[in-house]
Amino acid sequence: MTRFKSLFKNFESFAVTNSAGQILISQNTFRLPLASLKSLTQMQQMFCNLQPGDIAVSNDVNTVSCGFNQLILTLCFSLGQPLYLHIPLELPKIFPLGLKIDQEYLRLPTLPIVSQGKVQSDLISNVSTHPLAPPRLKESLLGAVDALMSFLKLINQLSGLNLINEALGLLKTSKQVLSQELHQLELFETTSRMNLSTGETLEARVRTSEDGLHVDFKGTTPAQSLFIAEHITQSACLQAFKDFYFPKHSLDQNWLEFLNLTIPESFLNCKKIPSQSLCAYYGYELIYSFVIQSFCKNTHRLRGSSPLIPSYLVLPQSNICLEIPASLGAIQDAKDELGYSPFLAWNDSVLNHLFLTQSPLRLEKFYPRVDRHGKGQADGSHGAHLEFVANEKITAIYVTENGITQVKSNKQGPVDIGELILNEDRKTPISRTQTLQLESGDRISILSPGGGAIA
Amino acid sequence: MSFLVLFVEETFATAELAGETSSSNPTLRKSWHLPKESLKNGLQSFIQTHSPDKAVEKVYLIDRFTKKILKFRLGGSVALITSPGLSKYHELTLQGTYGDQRFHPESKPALSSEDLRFEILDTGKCLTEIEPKLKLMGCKRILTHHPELRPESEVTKSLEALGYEIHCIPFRSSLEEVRRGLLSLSVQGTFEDLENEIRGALGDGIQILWLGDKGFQKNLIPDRFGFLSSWPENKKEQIFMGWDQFYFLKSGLPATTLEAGFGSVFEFESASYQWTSNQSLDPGPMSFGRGQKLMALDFFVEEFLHQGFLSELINKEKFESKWNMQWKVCQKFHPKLTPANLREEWMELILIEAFNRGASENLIISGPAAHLIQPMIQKARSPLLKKIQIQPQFHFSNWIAL
Repeated sequence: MTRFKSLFKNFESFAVTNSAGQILISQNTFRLPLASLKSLTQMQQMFCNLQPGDIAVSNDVNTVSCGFNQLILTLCFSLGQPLYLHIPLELPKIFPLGLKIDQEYLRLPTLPIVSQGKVQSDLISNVSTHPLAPPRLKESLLGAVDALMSFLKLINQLSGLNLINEALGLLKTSKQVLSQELHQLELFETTSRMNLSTGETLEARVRTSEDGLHVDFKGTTPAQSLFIAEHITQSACLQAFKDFYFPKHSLDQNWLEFLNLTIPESFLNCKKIPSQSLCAYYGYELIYSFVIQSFCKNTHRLRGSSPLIPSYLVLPQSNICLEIPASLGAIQDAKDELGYSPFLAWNDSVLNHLFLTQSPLRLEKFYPRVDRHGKGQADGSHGAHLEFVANEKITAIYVTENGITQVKSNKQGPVDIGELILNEDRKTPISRTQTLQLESGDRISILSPGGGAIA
Repeated sequence: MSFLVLFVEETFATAELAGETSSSNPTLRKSWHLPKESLKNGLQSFIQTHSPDKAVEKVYLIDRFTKKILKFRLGGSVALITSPGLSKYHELTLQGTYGDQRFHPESKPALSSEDLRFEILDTGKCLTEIEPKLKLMGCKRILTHHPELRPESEVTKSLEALGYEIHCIPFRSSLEEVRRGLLSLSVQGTFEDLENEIRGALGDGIQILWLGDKGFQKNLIPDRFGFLSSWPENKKEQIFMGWDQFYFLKSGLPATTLEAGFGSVFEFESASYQWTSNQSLDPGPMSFGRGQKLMALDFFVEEFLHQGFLSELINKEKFESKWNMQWKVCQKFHPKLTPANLREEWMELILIEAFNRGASENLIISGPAAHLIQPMIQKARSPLLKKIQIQPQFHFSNWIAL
């Protein structure tokens, strides 16, 4: 811990750039648009003329954010020179799969929401009452603004300390350390391919060398129903590289210099993302998991995991939407050398919520769905088997992709398809959207498919 | 009646002997600092010197384990009995951001070994199938996470009658509660060792009360890791300086650990240097002939010697040669850095952390080790350090009434 690092301790996920857009320090950057922070910083300077103390917000998925439901807040502050603190604000995912609750997200131009020390309450209220605004947008924005204003107060308390030199020293050291560690990296070259259930093919030639990571997406097909912006592809590749090889490091400008991407015209560098595109929500996760799998293929360190879009169980009356991941990630490998799962997996709070609250649909049992995943050089991770009991008469909507299309692995597989069992009535294959009228005491089981293997 | 307050950390312990005139106003008679490894002998001679005639009847024990212990992979000692599908519940973890949840990519300890995890529907199997296996493996501690296994259940009582120590976690417990329960049981032996040392010094009849979330209690399972659930309203906000760790105490908030306490290690690389938590099993400080890396406490060795505090345990010559060796390497990269500058920067780091946790500029510095930084504060050039106030006299006895 250094003085400069400890300034940002209250932010779980953040990145700090200087006025040239260089990343000085960052933390927990999963789904942070690292590749677009330079253009974001310049955009905020140009359009909002941000001065120390000002905050701007942006969510343009074509150029800045990693999903329609992600806002990026930028605070300008001064430590002898102007710096920019960027934090993500993840809003609830609005349903993209053709349900009635489907809705396009509000797209914000770059907006100054704190200017000359004053919170622009009218502006925030107007944005929040827009028909396309997600629920509780105002509260979420004001909460994030509060956190940034507390940070400003801290900066003011510390006037007189020379912290910028410390930041530059950290950046310099990180470059040397990274360069040394890259020299020790095992050199490899591999080509990975994945046929996605939506029809597209994702292909990449991944190569490590002493000057960094090279990813060439040659062979990836043009956009049909998946659309991902280039900055999202870049950010996800960078994060995957860091997480897999250097999980304890934090990302800064030096990392960008060690990542060499070649992206031919394909669904990975779309200029304009259609509002109903699934990948406007999950594109980052898709690329991240795919690149991680390519590394797995080389090192055999971890299980593979198919980058599937999760399923959902929606209880419209209760305004509850449970995300059900396609696979459990590397829970089975909790003792592997990294010691944690780099994949999407069940999270603590979902389970806590289901166990602890008086949910109208209670989670009764939770099993890994053992031995149904893809087998290969790197096995897919296990699926989940969840059994719910209805506590009252409710309507539940189950939405899935993996129930109707088999998960395609690289070569090995395919793994199982997802299943839905209502009171022992096995429904397979299930349609993309299934509405269930549940009586009190009814039981439903959801079996997610598990991950595909790497050949 | 006399009582003893004992504050034990990884490197040192502080003992205070006090007389209980009333519970809200104890009178301090004597306080003493001693290295932790000679706790038993140190306590014995302390009591013989200062309370030869009056027997000490109670020990109020304040012992917060360092975060380090949470990172160890403790396994094998605790059996886990759960309903189907939940034996790996406590290992669930996730990296990155998923939905609106964020997680740190820190490894979680494996708290129970594979062989000692049992998923059952029928609790009768506890006695017929599981117990014989536990007996064979010599496992005596069980944590249950099952809707039908409660403290009053017959199966639970039968297992207790067979000599097992059982803790039943309510079925709808959070992940954190399950982990805490497992961890608490896993390190039960360590707590018992400490209790045994105290009893060895003060006699078997001594009553030992531990400080936990709800104040001082006899048995803290599963709350061994509680410190103070919240700092009382009438107490001033402060940075409490222990021998290894520092805590920020603010009224109405739980005590929080600050990262760069006296136990943190100074690490330097080409262009930068930082303080990191000490993960070594040989924790230091180097000035006391322990550890291999310079700890924050080592930067205050002059104060140790000047104040005559534990100075008999410091081998100055040996330390100086080690110090010179490490400092020389550091100065190659940072020729302008002086120990005095570094100490000020370290203290600034601690203050920044406290401010980040909501400290105001009125906060004071207290704790058994606070006096070590007093000379540094008096000479400080940093604008931030000039504002600091140190509580001249700190007594644990005042905590008894909290």
